[in-house]
Amino acid sequence: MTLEQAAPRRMAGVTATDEVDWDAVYADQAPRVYNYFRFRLGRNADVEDLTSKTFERAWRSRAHYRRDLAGFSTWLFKIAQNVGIDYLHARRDHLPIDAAFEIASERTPETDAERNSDLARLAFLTKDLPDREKELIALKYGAAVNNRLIAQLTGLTESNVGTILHRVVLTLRSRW
Amino acid sequence: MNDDFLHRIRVEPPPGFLTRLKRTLDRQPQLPHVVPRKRSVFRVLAFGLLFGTSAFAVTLLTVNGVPESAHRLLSQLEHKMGIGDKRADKTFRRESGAEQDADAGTETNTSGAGGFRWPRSLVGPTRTPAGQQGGGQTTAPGTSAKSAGSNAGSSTAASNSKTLTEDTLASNANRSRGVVTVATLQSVAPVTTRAALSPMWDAQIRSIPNRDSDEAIREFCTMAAPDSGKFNADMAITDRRMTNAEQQTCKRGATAEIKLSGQAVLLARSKLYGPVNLSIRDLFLALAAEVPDPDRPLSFMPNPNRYWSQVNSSLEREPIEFVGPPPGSITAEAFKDLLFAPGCESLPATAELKSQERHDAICRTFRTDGIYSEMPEGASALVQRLYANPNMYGLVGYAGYMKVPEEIRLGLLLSSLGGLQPTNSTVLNDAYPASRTFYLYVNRMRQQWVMQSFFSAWAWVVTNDPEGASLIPTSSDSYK
Repeated sequence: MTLEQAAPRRMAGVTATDEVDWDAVYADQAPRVYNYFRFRLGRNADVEDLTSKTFERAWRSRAHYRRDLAGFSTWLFKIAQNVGIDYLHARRDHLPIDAAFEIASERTPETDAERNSDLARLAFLTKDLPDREKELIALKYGAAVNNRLIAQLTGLTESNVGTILHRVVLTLRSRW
Repeated sequence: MNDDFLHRIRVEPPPGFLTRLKRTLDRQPQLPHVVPRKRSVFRVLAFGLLFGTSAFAVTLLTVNGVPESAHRLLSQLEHKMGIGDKRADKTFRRESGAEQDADAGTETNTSGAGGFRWPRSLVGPTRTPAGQQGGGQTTAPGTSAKSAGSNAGSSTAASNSKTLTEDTLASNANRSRGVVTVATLQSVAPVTTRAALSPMWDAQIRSIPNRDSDEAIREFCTMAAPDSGKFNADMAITDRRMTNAEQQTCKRGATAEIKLSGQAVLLARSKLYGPVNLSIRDLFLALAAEVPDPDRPLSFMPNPNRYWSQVNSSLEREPIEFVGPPPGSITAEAFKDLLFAPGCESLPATAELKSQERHDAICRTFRTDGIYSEMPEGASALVQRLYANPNMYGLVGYAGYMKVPEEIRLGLLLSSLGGLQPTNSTVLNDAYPASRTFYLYVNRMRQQWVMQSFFSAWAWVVTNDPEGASLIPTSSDSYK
């Protein structure tokens, strides 16, 4: 069973009533949020921190969650998006010039192996893509949510999401 | 779409991380649940009632306008706050503008050609609200400046003549020159009024409309009281020159004569139906509301003529169709003066008419059974109508006709009267039978400024005002 086919299970833990089984929600959503950040950042570092921050925020304010306003996945991934945006804005892209020597000396066989991994290759291929495309890839293949939910999270139309993803995937596959 | 290479990147989180995170979450305190406030029925009802009442009030105001009591309340408040005078002035200006627009587009007249608009400052002092004096303005008893202003823009000379007789007409802000009385003609009374309001004129004018030039000259030459030294009129407008006999009998002594403007009316028709060969009698019998009864020679009956062959047996059996300006317009009045009334008076039956009213009813009244179609003055639309109806005759003012582009004019044939075609020279020299020239007579010695100013004001109206569009301007060297 692919992830796409498993999408209906996404709402596991959310019953028909207002009562939410938070344990089940956590078990279902944690891997999705974790992988969302992996795809979004293109590396494993800081992913655990961001996932923790997302769930802590969600758990802290879970009493405010209202099913009549949004689906649980929508609510949770909106929090994840905001956490990711805050992280990316706060991240220092350019290190001081003194740090450049340390970076050059950090190259080890392990880092080379990691760089050659699929995730690193994905990060390399998507580094020049606009943030919107990166976000769509992360949501689609990292969080494994369907196009309708992506459309709700990004403000795009569902067909537009599908079109953009198709074009990006074709490009990535040709360069993979 | 083959995207397995992307799905393969997805991994399961480390179990240790998930366990640690779950433990952290379990220890985390939960914020108190805040129950969203429900909208009470009372609040919904209150808002609904407020909205409905507001909508009802706005609708009432839109339909009925602001009630008078509210106006009074606002006026009192503004008076106490010291801003009442300014608002009253603005309100009045707005109201007076609306009235004038509704009457005839006098002050802000944009209905005519060129979209002419009067300078507001020039007529301000005379637009005084009812109940307030006009700042020293001399007005005749029982008259108001507003009525004069509204009459000024009327397109019908006949309707103007009734009220202008007793009205002191509005003039410009500077009234240091006093009141000047002019004995004018009914047919050009609107032009006289507009001249009084023009920027070239800086006095008040009292207009006395007259049926014809004889009456106008009589007013000009007659003293108000025997040996009083005051005359009924300070100047006179006529459509003919004063004769030598009149000059000699006029007690004013030396008078100045100015040729004000020319006027001519044309009969036009499409070239498809050939030249216009109608006599003035044919015109009268075709257009009159009443014509002589053939069975009873001295009585009249409603006009039964619907074909030209009924009017004149030498004409074709074609339906009579006419189009022209409204009967009260300056062009239509000129047509009556120059062609229609002479055609009427050429019939033996009309010679027996004793009453002036009856004479006017017969000799100056168009039929209203649809044979004569009215169109607003302005030759362009009328010419287009003639193109659409080749059988139709058009009554056109010469000045307006000459403003139509030449390529359009070439499609029409004009009436040739007495072997003469209407041109500037034949019209201004009175050679063309359906033309006339307006003259101004003023006492030369006493009021030189009146002569010069009024001539300039008249010329300004002829050039710039729709009321004067049917007149032909003359050159300024026409002093005699």
